[in-house]
Amino acid sequence: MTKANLNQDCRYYAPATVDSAMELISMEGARILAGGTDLLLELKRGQIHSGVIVDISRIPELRAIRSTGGGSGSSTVIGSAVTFSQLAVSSLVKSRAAVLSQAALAIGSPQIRNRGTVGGNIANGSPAADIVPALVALESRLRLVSPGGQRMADLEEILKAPAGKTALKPGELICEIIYNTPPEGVRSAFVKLGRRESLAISRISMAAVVETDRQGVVTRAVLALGAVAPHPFRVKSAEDVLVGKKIQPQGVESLLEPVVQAISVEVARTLGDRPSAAYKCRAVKGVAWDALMACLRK
Amino acid sequence: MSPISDLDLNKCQGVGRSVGKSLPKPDAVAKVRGEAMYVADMTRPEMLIGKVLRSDRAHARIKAINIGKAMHIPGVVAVLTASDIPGKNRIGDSNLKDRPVLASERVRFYGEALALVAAVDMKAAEKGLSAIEVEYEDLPVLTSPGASLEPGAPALHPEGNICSRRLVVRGDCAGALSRADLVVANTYTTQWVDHAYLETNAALAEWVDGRLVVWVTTKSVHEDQGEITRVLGLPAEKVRVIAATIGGSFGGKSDQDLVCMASLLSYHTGRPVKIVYTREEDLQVTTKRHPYSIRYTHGVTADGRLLAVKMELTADAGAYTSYSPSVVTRAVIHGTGPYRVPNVYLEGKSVFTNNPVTGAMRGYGTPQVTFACESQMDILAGKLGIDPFELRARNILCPGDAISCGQILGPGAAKEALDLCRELQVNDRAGLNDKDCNAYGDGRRRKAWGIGTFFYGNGRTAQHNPGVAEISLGMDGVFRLCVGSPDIGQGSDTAMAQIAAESLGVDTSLIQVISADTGLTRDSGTTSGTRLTYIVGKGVEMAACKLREILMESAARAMGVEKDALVLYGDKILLRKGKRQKQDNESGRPDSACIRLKDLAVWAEQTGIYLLADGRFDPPTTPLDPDTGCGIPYGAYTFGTQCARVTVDTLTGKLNVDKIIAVYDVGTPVNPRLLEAQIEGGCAGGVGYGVMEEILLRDGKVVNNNFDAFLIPTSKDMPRVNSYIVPNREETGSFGAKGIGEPALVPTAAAIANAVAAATGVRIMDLPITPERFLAGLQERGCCGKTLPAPGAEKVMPGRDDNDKS
Repeated sequence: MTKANLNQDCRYYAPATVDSAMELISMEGARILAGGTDLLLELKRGQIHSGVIVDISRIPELRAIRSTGGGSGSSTVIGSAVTFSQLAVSSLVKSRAAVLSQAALAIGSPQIRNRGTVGGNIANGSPAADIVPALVALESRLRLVSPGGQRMADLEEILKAPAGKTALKPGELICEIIYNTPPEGVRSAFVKLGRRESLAISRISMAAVVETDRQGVVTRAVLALGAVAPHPFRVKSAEDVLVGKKIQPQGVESLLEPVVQAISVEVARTLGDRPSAAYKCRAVKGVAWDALMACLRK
Repeated sequence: MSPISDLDLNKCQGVGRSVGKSLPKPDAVAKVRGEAMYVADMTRPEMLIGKVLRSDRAHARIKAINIGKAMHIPGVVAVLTASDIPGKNRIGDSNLKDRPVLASERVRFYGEALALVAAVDMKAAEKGLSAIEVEYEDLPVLTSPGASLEPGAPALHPEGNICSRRLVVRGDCAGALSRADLVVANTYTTQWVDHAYLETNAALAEWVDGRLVVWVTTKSVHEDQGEITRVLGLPAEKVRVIAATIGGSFGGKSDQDLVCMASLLSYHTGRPVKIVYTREEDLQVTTKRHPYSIRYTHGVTADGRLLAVKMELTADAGAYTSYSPSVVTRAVIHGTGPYRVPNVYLEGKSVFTNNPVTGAMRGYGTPQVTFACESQMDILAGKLGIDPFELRARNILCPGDAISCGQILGPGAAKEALDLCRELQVNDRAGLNDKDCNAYGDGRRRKAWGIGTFFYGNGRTAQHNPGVAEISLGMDGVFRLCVGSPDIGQGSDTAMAQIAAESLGVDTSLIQVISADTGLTRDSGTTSGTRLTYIVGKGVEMAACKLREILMESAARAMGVEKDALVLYGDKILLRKGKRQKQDNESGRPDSACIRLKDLAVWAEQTGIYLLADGRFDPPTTPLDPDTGCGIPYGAYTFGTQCARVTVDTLTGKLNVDKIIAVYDVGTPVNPRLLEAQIEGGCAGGVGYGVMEEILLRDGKVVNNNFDAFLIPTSKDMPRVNSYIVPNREETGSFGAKGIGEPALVPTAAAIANAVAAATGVRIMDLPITPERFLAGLQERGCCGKTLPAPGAEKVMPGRDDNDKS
């Protein structure tokens, strides 16, 4: 365990194991530091005056991406302190869950991707978090550790909270993010609309995971939207429209039209009378179209 | 014609051994390695940190400022208010000096300075700041020129809320409009933007041997010196201002409040004091580009000849005068665009508000006008059924034509630049048939080219603004070139060295440039108005040519030969072939056929001859007639045309600029690589201005006060820029050269707006062209994605062309 003086009122710890991290996190006023892309701003702005900063980025088990199980039942396990850069270059992620590596690459700039972590992106609770829609579309689960023990929770459950917050319990640490590794041949994509090509916060994002059988019939579709609600969420109404449809090279456009329409209707519902609603209800069609085409185009 | 990057320089007019060469900037490597010393990097023993207490409201009467508690904070060394100013508490870029360094009675904009703290470290300084108590009485906040001009609006200054007015009238505009076959009238608006230089404003003031020495990031050390001496009540010889390495300006870094504040703290504490603005502070309190509202009325004949242009322009001056009068004057003069217009009525005014102060920014009031004017040209072309290039070609200013204010143009190559740009664009069809175009339904993504044509007067408008230079030969054989105007990063020191070397006939490596130090250099004007290459460069040439004469005469004396028998070659002056040994040597003189420059300098020192010369060039301008605005405002004009190719996603409104072709008449290119860099950087500023950048204000407060929210293009947003020049020579310029700094940015936003209209039929008249604005425009036209008009069949948004008459 290393310790350094941050300033007179803050203490900084960098534990080497989850157990010692848990001890520190249970101290009063403890804040978890992973990549620091949000926490350091709070420190700089003087929004954090005192307490304990627990840096989890040096815990080896939280920095690994691994595969468990075998064959069709295998899972991908991502440590919460894995950086976006790590995620973007992981061949395991790239080959089976392109949606996740694309989302990682869409974040910030190389410097931010080198620091920012998957767990931090979830815990920060931002409506525009880019990794989260991808993880939702992969139906991820979280392994959460607290002083009292550990539990598994669906990511979607943890996102049931107001914007900027999560349903994590006090003192809980996200240790791992786990999803069933999609079988080979499953197509997925992440598309982001920002105000510029990099270093931009998502205005709308969409993650899509689509599975088709040999006849080209969609057997499974998970579609998640970001930045149009307090948290990224699944658009089940649009998934239902897509599942069971047969994809043919000639008719893709007419097939997608009702899916895109259903997504737009959902966005209109979530945004209500917010000033951005008129723009986003239309623009989401373009984002959805691009994400779905990336999954369905031969 | 090949792009600038592969110019065969031997074929360019005026190109010699130094001028016309792509020499690297000597400061480039240190900057890339992070070794260059900016003010923020500088430190001194016993140095204090200065911080500024700023108003947290845009308009209020100050009832009291209590500094008692702050004085007792440990580490705080000084707390100063307006009453601590020994001289005049007034600064300003014009003669008006209407702005206080520290407000004492009233604040007129959010973030106006009220008090200063100097402390041993940043923490103590911040604690000191927060311990100062200010009592305000709020006053109504005037957030727009409209609000300021309403009857009953409080007067922000004794003369009222009109900051400046300028009128240019020639011919009979109203009569010509009534005779025109087609009249098009529209109103355009532009947004607030900031320079977004990488380095924030910073200054360090210290006492050295009884003299106040101020290091600052600035456009003009001499103007800074003038303001400091007035504010401190010191004689000029007691204040020396030196420009540190400057991390970008783009017209900014001309506000003199910061140097005065750092100087004041050092004056009172006797210790070195450094103030470095935070980004949030910099974006709130420094000057911005003026937002305009422009009403344009163009009258043309059926065959597309411009008969009359009427322009009514209102600019938000913000809380104080700054450069507003001259910005508006330049905008008005350029109000016709680079076209022959016999009848003009061009009126501009700037209006005080409680918004941030607006001042100089790249283009100096003309990018706004060019966006509006070039939009008008495309609308006219569409209505007349004439190709947009052709309409411009029929009206473009040619040598011998009069510009808006009656000045007769010399040999400019505006037409040649327009024609070359047209040729390059017509031949560039790449990507226009991408399969992307039909990715969604019928033509979701639309692509098209758009044009922006412009001109830009070099130098300050209708004012004396001499470029002054001094050059001497040292006993080390190196020439010292002293120029008062700072190199703000664009490479003016390099260009000046090239001009001096060319004039002297020596290698550029023998020229050492000393710039922007009031202790060493004379005032050669600010680095602004695209004036360095054209004006200061000419002063450098004159000084160097004079020195060359002195060198040859001295060498002739030293060697005992006729001056005509000598030639300067390398680092020596030698006898021409055939002249050797024919003349007798006086005793005691070097008996040889040549003399090295450093030996000549030693000989001159011993003989009492000064190898020193100066040069001064003031462009031939006249003041403008106060009633008609007519006169000769500039000595030379840069001309150019840019074409931008855009892709518009009609579902998301996302706009990509795919490519820019930029063609310029800059006369002789002094340094092609730097020229190209200026054009590319200018285009980046123009792309940002066109589609992205916008400072958002709420009651005078900058809402997006850091780069996470005030967005400028990244490298990924920038397209390829293909830069070209057309051959020309500006007779009054140094080796035929004209300026590029501001012209690089001016037409880009206009070209993008015209490309968007050509691609989609949606004419956006308010910058920036955001996705929301574009989609709203599309919806107003009643076509949502699938039923877009064919490219080129432009239609103006309803309600905006109410005065149309066809």
